[in-house]
Amino acid sequence: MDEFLLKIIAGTISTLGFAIIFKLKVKLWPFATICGLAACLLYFGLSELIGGDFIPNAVASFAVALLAEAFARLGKAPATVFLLPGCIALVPGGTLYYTMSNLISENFDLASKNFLTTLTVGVGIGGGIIAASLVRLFFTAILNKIKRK
Amino acid sequence: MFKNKKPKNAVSKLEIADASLYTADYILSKALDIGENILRCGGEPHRIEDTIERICSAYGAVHTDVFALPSLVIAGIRMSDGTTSSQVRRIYKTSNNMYTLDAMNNLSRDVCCGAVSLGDVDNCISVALNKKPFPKILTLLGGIIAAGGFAVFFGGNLWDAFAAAVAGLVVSIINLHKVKLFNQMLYTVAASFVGAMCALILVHFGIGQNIDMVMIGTIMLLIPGLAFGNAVRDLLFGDTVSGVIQLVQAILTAIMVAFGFIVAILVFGGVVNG
Repeated sequence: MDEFLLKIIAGTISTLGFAIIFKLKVKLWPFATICGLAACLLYFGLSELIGGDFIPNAVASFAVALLAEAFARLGKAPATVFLLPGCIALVPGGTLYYTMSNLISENFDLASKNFLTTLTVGVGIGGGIIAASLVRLFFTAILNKIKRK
Repeated sequence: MFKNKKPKNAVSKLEIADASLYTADYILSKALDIGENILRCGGEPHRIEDTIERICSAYGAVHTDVFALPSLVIAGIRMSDGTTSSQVRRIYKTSNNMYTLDAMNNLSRDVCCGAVSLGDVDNCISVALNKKPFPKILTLLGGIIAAGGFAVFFGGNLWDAFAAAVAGLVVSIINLHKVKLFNQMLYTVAASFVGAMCALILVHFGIGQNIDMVMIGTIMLLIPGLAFGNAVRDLLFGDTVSGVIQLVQAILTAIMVAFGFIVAILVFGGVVNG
């Protein structure tokens, strides 16, 4: 449990680091960090509960994208500003590294396995973001209809 | 983004007042200036298309066609009096600068609702480009805590985090002093080579214990962030061409990172565990 907590804290801190690297306004840092915290919590929680790679990443990026849309309204900045640092903890750096190091040591089975995991995670993140955009489009369409009436 | 009703009302007023003040060429070039800067700071192509279309129609264009790729914007407009204009912008370098992206987004919104006139756009852009959200040194801090954090995130201990932070610092310093002649790919190879070298040396002297974790922490600074996720999103949303371009860019960058790391491992090697 302690390790779990430490990982979540580390992921959140890294998100803050990327918020700085991406040159966010200082007053937007907390929003981005909250996005990162949500991503880490959901990702680790779901991979404990369900396991696998696709669903935890897809759900986490879906949630972060929705949060980013909400923060975009609150912080008066485009949603990408929160989405980019928020999702960074989900980026499959680990499997990418293992793909590479296994390629060097000519361990092709492990290399292709890790490569496929990297792909799955990437598609999961993309899918989650799309699902969130669809939800947003749906709700704005409904809101606009209500306003017109 | 622009779904609220306020700009729409303002736009109709502008169409009457300002339509004859600016030529089609002028309107399109200002709209493209803003769009180009959004693209440069890492905005998505469809955001640029949307922005340019809105600005042009706010200033009286009856027909607007915009096509944006990560490295190119093509746009043509037709005004109500029949004059036309078409212009092209080529973008060479893109980076993630959320501060300028935010500023440009606000500027485009102001231009659309008439709060900033087209003549002031140049001024506003140069002001926004020269403003910095915080001193450059802080970016180094960002690199340090991001690399250190990820070393722990992927299962390392605190010593690994320290080693990764040092490697991250070195990579961030290279990032600050990007030589202009370097192209992006060459830079990625160089940065990943130096990053991996630092990691290997530090682990060799016992500062980090798990070479994997230190390397992964450093890699996270270099791999194309969310480019892959973004590419998939663009592809599934129907922006096939820009999606494919981003996808290829992401894969190429990942290969370049891998290449830099491989060279470093082969040169300083012996510590790799497959």
